[in-house]
Amino acid sequence: VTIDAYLAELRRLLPSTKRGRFLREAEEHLRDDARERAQAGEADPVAAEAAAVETFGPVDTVAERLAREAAPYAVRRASFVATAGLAMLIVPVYGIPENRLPPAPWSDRPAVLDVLVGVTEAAWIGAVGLALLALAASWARRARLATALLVAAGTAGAASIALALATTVAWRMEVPATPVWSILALLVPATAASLGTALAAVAWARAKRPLLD
Amino acid sequence: LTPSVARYMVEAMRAEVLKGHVDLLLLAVLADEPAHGYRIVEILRERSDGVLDLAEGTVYPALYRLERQGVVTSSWSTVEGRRRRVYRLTRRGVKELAERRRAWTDFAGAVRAVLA
Repeated sequence: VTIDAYLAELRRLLPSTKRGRFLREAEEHLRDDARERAQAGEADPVAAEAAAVETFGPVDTVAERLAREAAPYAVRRASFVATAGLAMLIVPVYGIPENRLPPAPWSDRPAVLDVLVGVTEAAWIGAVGLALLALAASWARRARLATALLVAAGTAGAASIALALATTVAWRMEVPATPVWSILALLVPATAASLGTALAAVAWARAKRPLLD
Repeated sequence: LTPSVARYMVEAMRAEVLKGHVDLLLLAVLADEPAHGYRIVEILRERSDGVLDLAEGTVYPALYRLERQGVVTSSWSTVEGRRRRVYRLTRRGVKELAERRRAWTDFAGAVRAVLA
């Protein structure tokens, strides 16, 4: 195996965040080693390159070690992003319904709406709380725990959105003039932005799980 | 045990022990002089008479880990006319090395006492 072929394979296997610096260092290392072997008369230049590559280590082992090293920090970054995304869910879960649902034309609001509003907000608070715990776990180098907490946070966040939708529909049934379509027009993009960001971060962290010790 | 199985077991044990103490070894090398990755591997091999001969590519992930922990720092420098990433111990790294060295000495002493 030549140094160029080895480096090309490493480039293919490495996480993009580590590629540039590590490939530069690996190339310097391999060329130094090959040059020294050739100068010492140990081998011809081609065999010296092959020997340098061999002592550097199997390409998949080296790439995996580097990916394992980077994984806990990727989970930490994912925890930040997920927490921010879930915090922004306040807009679709609370801000939009609070400002768009018409006042109820009744003296006593039906219990079903009270329950739906309360559960929706509780789900959102739970999601943000779990995400904050994940953030703390990732800082404490408990990346596996952080990943599990992030998955729970993402689930709670998605549940809060489902409950916000159910609240809107139930409101429409109680107050026929409720502008469901205009609420949905605001709810969908706000949800896509915040929940989409959070769930993408959770998926990213989950993908790192096999690399976490 | 046949000799080949015994040799295999010794090699496997050595690889495991080495893996568990790579950080300490790297810190100890850098305590004497700042060095780039290839030089670090050379020093390890020289000082151990070739016994500590690790897969060289795995030194870099360990160096990155130590850098993230703040015990090692690195920068690009020109060494012998070539651009190299040179690693050096931080003040925190000096303290960390002293602690790990003490822990290792205690552990090695205990093992030696049991084996004697």
